[in-house]
Amino acid sequence: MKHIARLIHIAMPVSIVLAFCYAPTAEVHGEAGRLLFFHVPLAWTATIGFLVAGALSIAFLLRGRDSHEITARFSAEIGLFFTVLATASGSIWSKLSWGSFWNWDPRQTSIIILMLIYLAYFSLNASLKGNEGRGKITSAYLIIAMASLPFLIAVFPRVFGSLHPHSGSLVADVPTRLTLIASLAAFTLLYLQILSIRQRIHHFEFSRQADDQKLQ
Amino acid sequence: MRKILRLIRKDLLVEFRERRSLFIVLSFAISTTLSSAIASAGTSLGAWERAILLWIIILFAGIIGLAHSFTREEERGTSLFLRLSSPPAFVFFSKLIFNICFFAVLEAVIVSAFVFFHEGDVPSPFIFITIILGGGFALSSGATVLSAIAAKSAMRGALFAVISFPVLLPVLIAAIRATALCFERHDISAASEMIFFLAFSGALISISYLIFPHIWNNE
Amino acid sequence: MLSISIHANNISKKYGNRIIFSSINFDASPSHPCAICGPNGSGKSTLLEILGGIRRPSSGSVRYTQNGENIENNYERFFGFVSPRLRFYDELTALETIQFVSGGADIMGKSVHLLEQFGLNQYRNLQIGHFSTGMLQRLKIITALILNPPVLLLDEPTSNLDETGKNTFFTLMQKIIPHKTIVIATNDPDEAALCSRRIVLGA
Repeated sequence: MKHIARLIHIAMPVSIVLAFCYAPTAEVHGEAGRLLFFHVPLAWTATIGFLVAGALSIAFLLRGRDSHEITARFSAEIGLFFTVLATASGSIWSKLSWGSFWNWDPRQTSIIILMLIYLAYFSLNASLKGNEGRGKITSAYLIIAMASLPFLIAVFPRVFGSLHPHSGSLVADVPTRLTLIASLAAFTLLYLQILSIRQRIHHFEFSRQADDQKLQ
Repeated sequence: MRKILRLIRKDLLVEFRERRSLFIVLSFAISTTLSSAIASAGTSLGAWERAILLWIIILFAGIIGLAHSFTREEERGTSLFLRLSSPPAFVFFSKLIFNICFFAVLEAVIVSAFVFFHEGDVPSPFIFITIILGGGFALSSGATVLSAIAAKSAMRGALFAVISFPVLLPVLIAAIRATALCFERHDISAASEMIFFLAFSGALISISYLIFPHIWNNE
Repeated sequence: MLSISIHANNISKKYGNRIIFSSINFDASPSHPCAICGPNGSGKSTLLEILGGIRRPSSGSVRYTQNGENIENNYERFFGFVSPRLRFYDELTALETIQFVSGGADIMGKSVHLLEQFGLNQYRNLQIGHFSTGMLQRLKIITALILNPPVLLLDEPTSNLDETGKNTFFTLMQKIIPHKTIVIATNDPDEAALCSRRIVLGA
């Protein structure tokens, strides 16, 4: 995985160049519309982080391999980080488009709820410090949270109207669409790269601890 | 099956002989309802405002009341005894059933006080009660396993509130909407929310049942 | 009840980096009680809980066999457990506690019999919250025995007991040792003397 992730070094610069130079100026938003190429991938990676963490949690409860749980937690850390960025970039976009930083728009609200779930997950993790069952309990919570998300998404459209731009209208032309896909790919690689680095750091720390123990 | 009844009976005995937490929850419920009525000073609130207020009170009282289904076992040190007495599935279902019934009683008190003190009538009592009970059923279904999770942690009560809010939010929103619609006499749409409650409960109960042993058994 | 043996295979337990014990191997079978001895903090209670399946070992495994065949651990009917960590519900009475464990009227006679043996019958409708430590200990022993389980895991069973209580316990033990698989975690010489095998933990 880490070899594929290394492509980030090419992919990200390419995608940035595309975003600023190749894609045409957006009709409504002008140059500021280029934010799209960063905001959407951020939200996308935030969700990926969550889904990966959830899937790994299920795998952990089924198989019991510690590495699953650890990777799930790293994925959640990265996911949380991207969620914050997605919310921030989303608010800027919202200010540009509709005049206020916050609208009760389903997607905006969903991303905030996702952030709450992450924060709850990490609070739980912290308060279980020293408990042997920590991995299982936090995994269990993530799975429960994942189970309730579809209901959240289902309930929103009925309560709020949608201000969020319909995906069709903004990506009408080919260059914009291409740039967006490139950004999505770049940010996904970024996520994988950070995850793989994080895993390697953990691996080094772990083997260093094991070496220390052997010396004792 | 008899085993589950035995567990429920145990919980009932403990709950009612202990009394203190029961009183706290009920006092909280009544005083918040009363405060909200006084604060609105007799003016008639709209349907949505009433629905929101009602469900916020129900949710908060519920969080206080449901938290201790598992956290008290840990705090009193009886969880080992409970663990040894029955298989995990039975423990889970007994707590679930207990929570559902407890919550229904709690809702009865809150709703009665609310309707009594707040201006505004309840057009279709039958639908209204169904929604209240449906929402309560959904909330209890989610809260049971969350209580088991929070019980294992260091700051049980506070953590329970933190972890349950995101998970129970969909139910809260659906319940508020359904109640508001019911106040506004749109009965059919209100009643259709019941499907949502049942779906949520079904999903949460099934997943909780599968996950519960991983939480309950000491590692 | 048929006899059950416990087989511990290369058990070790560690918390974080601290190793409590390792490479524990032994078998417990009926009529040969085992004692787990060792200084405080050496992990006697932990090992006992691992044997009962209440705790997971860091490595190794525990098997249960009945007449040579492997069986699953089925907590309630399988073993009786006495431990300082066990706590009853303060709001229930002694009789209700026993009924909670045993489940019903068919055991009523036996409950009363055991209560009498341990001198608790006059307190059977008293709430646990009012019990003294000695009374609690006796009740713990009763609840461990009430379902007549084939295995008994006892962690310091005579702690907090007075002379009478201890006598009742030892007399009872002599009667049931031939029929049950018993493991006792203890530092008490009288309790250890009941056992034919001994494991010593700790440096």
